[in-house]
Amino acid sequence: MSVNPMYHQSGQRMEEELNWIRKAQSDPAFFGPIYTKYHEQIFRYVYQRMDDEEQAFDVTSQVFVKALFNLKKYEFRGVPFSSWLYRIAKSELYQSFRDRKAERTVNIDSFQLHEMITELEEDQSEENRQKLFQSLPKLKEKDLQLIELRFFEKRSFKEIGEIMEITENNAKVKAFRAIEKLKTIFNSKS
Amino acid sequence: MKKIKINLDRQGLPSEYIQQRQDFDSISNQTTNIKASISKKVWFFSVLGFAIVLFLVIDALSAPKALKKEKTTSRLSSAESTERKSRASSVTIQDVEPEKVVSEKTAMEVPGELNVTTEIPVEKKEHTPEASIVSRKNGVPTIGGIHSGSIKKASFLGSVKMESGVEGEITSFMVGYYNGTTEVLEFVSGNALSEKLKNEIVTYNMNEMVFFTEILSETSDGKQLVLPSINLKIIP
Repeated sequence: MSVNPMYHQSGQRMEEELNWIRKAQSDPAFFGPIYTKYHEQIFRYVYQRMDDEEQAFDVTSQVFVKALFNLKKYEFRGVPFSSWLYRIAKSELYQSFRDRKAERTVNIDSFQLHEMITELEEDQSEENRQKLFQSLPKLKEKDLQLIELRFFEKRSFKEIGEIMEITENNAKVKAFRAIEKLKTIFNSKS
Repeated sequence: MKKIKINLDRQGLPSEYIQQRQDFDSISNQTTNIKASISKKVWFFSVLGFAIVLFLVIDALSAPKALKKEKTTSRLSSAESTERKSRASSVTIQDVEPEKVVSEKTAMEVPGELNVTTEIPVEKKEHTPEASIVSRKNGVPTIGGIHSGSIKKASFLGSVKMESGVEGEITSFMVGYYNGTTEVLEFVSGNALSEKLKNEIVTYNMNEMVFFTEILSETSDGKQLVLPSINLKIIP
């Protein structure tokens, strides 16, 4: 499982970043470097769950507007600043789905699909691919999010925990249960 | 089942392209605009709140006077209604004192005895609905006959001025509405509703509340009154 180098930072880099945030809390102009650093990864997180590129850029902009607006309320809790941005992104994303401005989308590539079918202990057939496509929407949103984060985006359990506001161990347990639920749904069709 | 679209092998976007779309100035401007609109809203609602508190204080201070006036009105209207009733039943009543009330039922039951009167002290009687409506109608300003609630667009556009509901005309008022770009709180001198104001309100505030506050009226003896705010919802 690969590790997101942008997310996992050394204590020293987190300290440097915190200094920038403190400066930005008193002068928003200092938020510029933080925006430049995180824009792409927040956009990719949003675009992974949306179909329309322009809507994804709009939601990403809203994430940073909200972050800058609420920056004074931000408190450092020993986790990277990006986990706070991801939480805002998650909230903005689901708001756009609720407002029916955007369509909930799962983006998956052939390699990930292959891995997923292996995880389900099934044969790599076209029929099973179709079954998986039909099974994914039947999962609860939280389970689908866990599968997306873990299997399609290859995030660590620590990162998943921070994005979903749960502990690392809880993220492991929940991801395992999500896979079990997907297996049940997958097999119930056959 | 949720409606979820599944894309297989969607082409990813290159980092250079995503970086080109970064626009920190726009983020900064949007944040400033949100802060500005919130501070305007805070200011607007502070003024509105202050106006309401001011009205309540004035209303509380003038309450004893209004109660006295109401009692007098009640006594007079009770006496008038008694007089009317007694005329209607064609019973001749001699030397009816204002404080004495003839019971219509008693007079009907005993047609021979014309001088049967029952003394009921007026002060002990409850206020008649007529009396309370009289006192409530006073001091309530209106636009198109409406003080608070929904008003049809046509009726609002047809209203030339704000009616005071009291003796004397309205001298000024404040109106809070959205003008297409921002929330404004406008001071209007006099009681006229200009065409520009009405059109802006109708264009940008359909199905929204519009508040007319700090409505001041001057009586013939030069006394200034603060009238209750008008809250209208413009409907098609």
